[in-house]
Amino acid sequence: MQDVTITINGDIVTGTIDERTLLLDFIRDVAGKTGTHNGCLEARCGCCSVEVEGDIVKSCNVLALQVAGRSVTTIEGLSKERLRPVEHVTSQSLAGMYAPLEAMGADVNDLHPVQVAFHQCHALQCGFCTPGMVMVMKNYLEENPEPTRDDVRTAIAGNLCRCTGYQHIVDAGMMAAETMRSQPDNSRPAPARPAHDH
Amino acid sequence: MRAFTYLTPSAPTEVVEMLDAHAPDARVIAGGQNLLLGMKDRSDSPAFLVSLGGVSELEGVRAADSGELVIGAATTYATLARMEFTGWHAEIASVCGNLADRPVRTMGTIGGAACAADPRYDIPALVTGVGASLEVLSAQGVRTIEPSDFFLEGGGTSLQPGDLLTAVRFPATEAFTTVVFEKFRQRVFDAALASTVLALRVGDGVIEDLRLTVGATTPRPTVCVTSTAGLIGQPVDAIEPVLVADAAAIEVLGPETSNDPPHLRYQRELIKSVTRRALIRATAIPRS
Amino acid sequence: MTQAPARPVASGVAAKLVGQSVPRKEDLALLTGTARFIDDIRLPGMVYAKILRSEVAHARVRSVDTSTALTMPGVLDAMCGADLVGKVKPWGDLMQDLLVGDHTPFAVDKVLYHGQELAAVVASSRYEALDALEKIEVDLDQLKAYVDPEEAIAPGAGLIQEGITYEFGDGNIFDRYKVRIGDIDVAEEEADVVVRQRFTTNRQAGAALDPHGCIADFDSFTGVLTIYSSTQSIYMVRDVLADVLQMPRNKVRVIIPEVGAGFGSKAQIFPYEVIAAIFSMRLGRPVHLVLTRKEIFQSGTARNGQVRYAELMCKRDGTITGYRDYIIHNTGAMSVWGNQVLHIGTNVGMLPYPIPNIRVDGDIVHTNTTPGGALRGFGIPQMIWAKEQLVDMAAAELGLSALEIRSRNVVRPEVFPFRTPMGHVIDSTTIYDCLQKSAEAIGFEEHTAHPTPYEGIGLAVSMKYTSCRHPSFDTDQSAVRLRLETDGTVTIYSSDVTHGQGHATMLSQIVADVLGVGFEKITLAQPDSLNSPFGLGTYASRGAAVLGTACRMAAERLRERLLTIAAHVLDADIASLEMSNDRVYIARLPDSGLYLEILAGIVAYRTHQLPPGFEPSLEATATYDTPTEREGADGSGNLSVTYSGAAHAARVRVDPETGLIRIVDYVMAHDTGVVINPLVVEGQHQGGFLMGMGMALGEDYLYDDEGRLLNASFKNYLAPTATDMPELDHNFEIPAPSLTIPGGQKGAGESGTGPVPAAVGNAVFNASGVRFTSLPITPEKMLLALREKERQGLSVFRFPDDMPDFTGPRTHAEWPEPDLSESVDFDWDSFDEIEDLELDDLGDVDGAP
Repeated sequence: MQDVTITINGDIVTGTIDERTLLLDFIRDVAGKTGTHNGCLEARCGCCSVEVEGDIVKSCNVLALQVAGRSVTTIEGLSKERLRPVEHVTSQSLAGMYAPLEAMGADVNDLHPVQVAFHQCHALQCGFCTPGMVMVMKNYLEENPEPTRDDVRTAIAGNLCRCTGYQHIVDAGMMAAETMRSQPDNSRPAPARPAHDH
Repeated sequence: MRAFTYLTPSAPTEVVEMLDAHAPDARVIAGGQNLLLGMKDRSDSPAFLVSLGGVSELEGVRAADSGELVIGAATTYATLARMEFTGWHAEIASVCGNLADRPVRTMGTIGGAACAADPRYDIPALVTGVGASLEVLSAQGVRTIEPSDFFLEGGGTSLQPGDLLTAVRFPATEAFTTVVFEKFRQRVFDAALASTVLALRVGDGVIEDLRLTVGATTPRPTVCVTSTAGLIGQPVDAIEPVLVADAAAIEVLGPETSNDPPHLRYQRELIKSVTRRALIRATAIPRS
Repeated sequence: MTQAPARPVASGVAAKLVGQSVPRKEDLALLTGTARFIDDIRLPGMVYAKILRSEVAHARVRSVDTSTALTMPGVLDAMCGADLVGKVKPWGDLMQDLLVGDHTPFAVDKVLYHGQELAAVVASSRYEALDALEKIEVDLDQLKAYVDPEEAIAPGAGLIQEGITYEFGDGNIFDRYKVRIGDIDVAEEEADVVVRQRFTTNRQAGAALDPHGCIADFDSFTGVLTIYSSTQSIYMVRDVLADVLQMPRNKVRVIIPEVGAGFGSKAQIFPYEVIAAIFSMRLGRPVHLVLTRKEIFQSGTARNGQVRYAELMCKRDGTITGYRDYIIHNTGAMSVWGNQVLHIGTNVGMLPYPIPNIRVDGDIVHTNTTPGGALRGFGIPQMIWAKEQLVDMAAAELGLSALEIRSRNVVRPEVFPFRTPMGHVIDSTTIYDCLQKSAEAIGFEEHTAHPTPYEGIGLAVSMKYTSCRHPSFDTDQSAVRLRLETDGTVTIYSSDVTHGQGHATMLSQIVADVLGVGFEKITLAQPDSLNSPFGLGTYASRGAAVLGTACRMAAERLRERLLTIAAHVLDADIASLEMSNDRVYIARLPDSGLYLEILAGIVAYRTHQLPPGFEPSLEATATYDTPTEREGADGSGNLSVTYSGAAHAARVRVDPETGLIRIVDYVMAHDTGVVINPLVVEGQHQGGFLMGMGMALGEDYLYDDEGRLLNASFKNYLAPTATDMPELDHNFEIPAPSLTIPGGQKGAGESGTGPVPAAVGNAVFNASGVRFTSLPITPEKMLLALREKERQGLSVFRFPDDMPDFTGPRTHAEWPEPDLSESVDFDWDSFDEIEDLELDDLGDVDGAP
């Protein structure tokens, strides 16, 4: 057993761990952040992707000891603003005053542009691959703000999705890229989703 | 994964001391992308892991006085993919940016790939293809190993317990006019089913050096000799891609027989295809 | 304190949501990592179980010894098959209605497939459990393994399942299937063209990324076993688990967390659920048992592989007059659903052609391979793969185009509902229009006139069930209970489990429209057998049509109650009332009225304001059982409430140097009836395509000669990645609203999978001249076939053809026949005769005259 400290989403987390503990397990069991998922444990599916100081890794194939002392960002770190208390509305006079649906996705103070785009493009179905997919997409779009659709496909080639056929995920990547280009400070709403051909 | 002790040296000599102290149960971990896969399914169970994470000397790229490009063994694919190399060295960045997938490239290292010596990985083929040498540190000092001695004919490497691969030394830019790497794999993140490295030096339209290597189909990359014999000294136009590629397939996998199992027949076809592509691409590049 | 945002004042009548691409309610939790999947649940005192699985495929179990493992650090308990004999009841194929159980938590006397459970341990940590597994001593006596189903039924083959006598089975044949429609012999005699081919299909995994797993938590004081499980069906798990453990069903509580997809692979109970439950009952602690990816490949279910000796009969004008098939259906070492895959897939797979003469014999065969089972498409992709290639082959012989022959045959009645000879009741369809649209959008005419080398176009059409009355289940029901909460919000309790389909969104759209309640005020409750109404679960593309109908019925019942109260309070005529914007109002005055929370408050807290004698309830429940039929003795029957249509067109490019097949364009034209949420349905079709493409071009279970599964990993199980996919932006909906389903919906979930392998196969033939008869079409097979075709100097070529010397049309006599020698071949039309037979047999035994 060994003491390890890793900063996760800005919080300093220390645990006494078995040397075998993977970064994935440290995030989930020591830091208690279960948004990072274990889909295969063999560095194939990408569900466990997180950032270590700006670089994307598959956390199931990294020992916690390998990143001791470093900073990790997980899916929970992308939308910290959402953690502020929600006002509870009960009286009749306030009927109809729950946040309108659009606000859920379009309030960019709440969600990262990649998350907003995934919501608006229906880029997730069961949602299990989504945290890893979003992390890889964010990491890639920060490096290449003007990707082609094929670039986006290659960037997420290490992330499997069995539900969507990837089409809406690529749509979301392109939409998020546009948002991130137009507002590097993430303070303006996302563009409307293009009309779909049915 | 079985239990192990994790050691964190800060200098190469310290690594070697630790490896010696715990031989043969100690293993080096750099990115761990290959090693950890084996440890998780318990096919690999070292009792000691010696981490290169704190050994910064082993990371990075420098030019040696000889003109060689010296790449630290613990340099990641992601780092190399972002490098702006000159001349044929650009192919190194291209290979490193087009293998595995984005997150794996963050952790995976060139030295790790060389030591894993998986025939389907791109690095052993590239290293062999351009005749890069491998710098190894041990208690006895530093030695430099040629790829033909590093990668064993039956698979694996000649590294002994206590050896630390410290760097891969690629020949100077002048060594080749062009280096072309071609491979085929079904999905982007799959390892290659066949790969070819063609390293070519041309002067005044005449082939001064040519090295053709086929990877992924034999336990170690095969340098093709007979299929390229006689080309040196010839004009570049003399290369007939189809003939050379067909001969290379025979040289690598032996002559065709009617009993060849399907996968062997397929490998043969793929060697021809990727080699032909490499030859066409290489000879189409402007010759200095 | 944050300032509350400005709130819009709702006025007028809110727009209807059904038909709108409303972004999903589910997304926020999934996008931010707060959704809890099975592996994310942490219970106090939870311990970890791991399973030891067989490394060989077929063996006698001499002994399994867990005694050393029990002494390992952290180990709390261990068990193996012998420990449980007589203590748990085996379970089995649903077709057998639980009368015959061939499933046990562990192998007892015999191992039947690679990866079967041998023993398990439970320890304080996962590592300790895994360390202890290595100390379990297993002594097995290996037997010859049967991987190939035809080998398993060849004379002299060893018996795989011993000691279980199946009612209609024989040797390794577990069950038989027959269809007898019309007169196939006459059809053959009168046909102008008969095309025949042996086709084989692959095993395919659901490979849902969220691993199979559960947490069992037994409370020894109350006797309640709570099991959290990543499953598609609440009650299939509860009822079977209670039965296996011989417990009252209300003492088994199944709670279902977020489920990261299933595709059919989680539509049944598995041994791990039983093992975790027993450990928890023995220890009195919560037991976590989540499978690894390798275990899921080995022991989850896989799409049944089939061998089909298929024949299609046509008249000169292209009219299809007959279909005959002998099917060897590989259902693995055991199965829960695998048997029914053949029934449903073959029955529904006859569509969209109203074929008048059909004869099918099927042998459902055990092999020493992974259990077969449900997977997106449920037998239909296999059937369409064979039939739609035969259609192209017939067209070629008749000099018709692939479009012409299909246009002539797809079901296109003048009057609906229309009953096909197979018994399907087609209540509406636009399959003809879908076919034309797909051919037009892919550029069929242009390509036919000006083909590009190594590029090809292929068409395929299918129709897909929307629900299913399975042969074993005389039911096709789902249920919804709605509760108006005391603040005017609405909670939906559903019998079925959402796992990616967006039930929360889809059901909320229905409820919002019927009750006029704000979409954001509706919540879908977590599936829980103690709270959810009874229903079958999420499979067979039933969600929108069957569950959606139950939801609409419940919402209408609740609406009725609320209108009655409002009419009383407002002293208005009930017929003059409308609901929208969270209130009930008089039709002419949409900006006035009573808020739902006022009405809820009256029911809950001010009951004197209710109409006299009115029951103060805020709930309404509805169960919808479809008007479907049981399968008839001749195999006919309307098993589905309505049928969605899919016409696909593929354009592929074959790389003649590597064999790589790229789908460069793909058109999907669908009839999904009334679409509740177009974006969600589009996503279903795209996902359905992915699974079909994986089946067509790469996914497969690879076994060695000893039956070991060689690719139980995403490393070499070729699940498609984003770069393998074409752009799926040519999607068309041509809706024909169902006349049976009140809202007009049809099933979406599996519609996109059915035609894909056939469309790709036809396109590959068009591109390369190679007619593939086996799946998947890997680059290796493609390139070797091209080289072989070149070597033989042929322009068209079937690969791999089991009879390479074959030149002319084969006759039916050359096909193998099901071997009925050892079994009772009774007349399926009459069960009375069985009884007679048994009486006769008894007579013989007694030596009576």
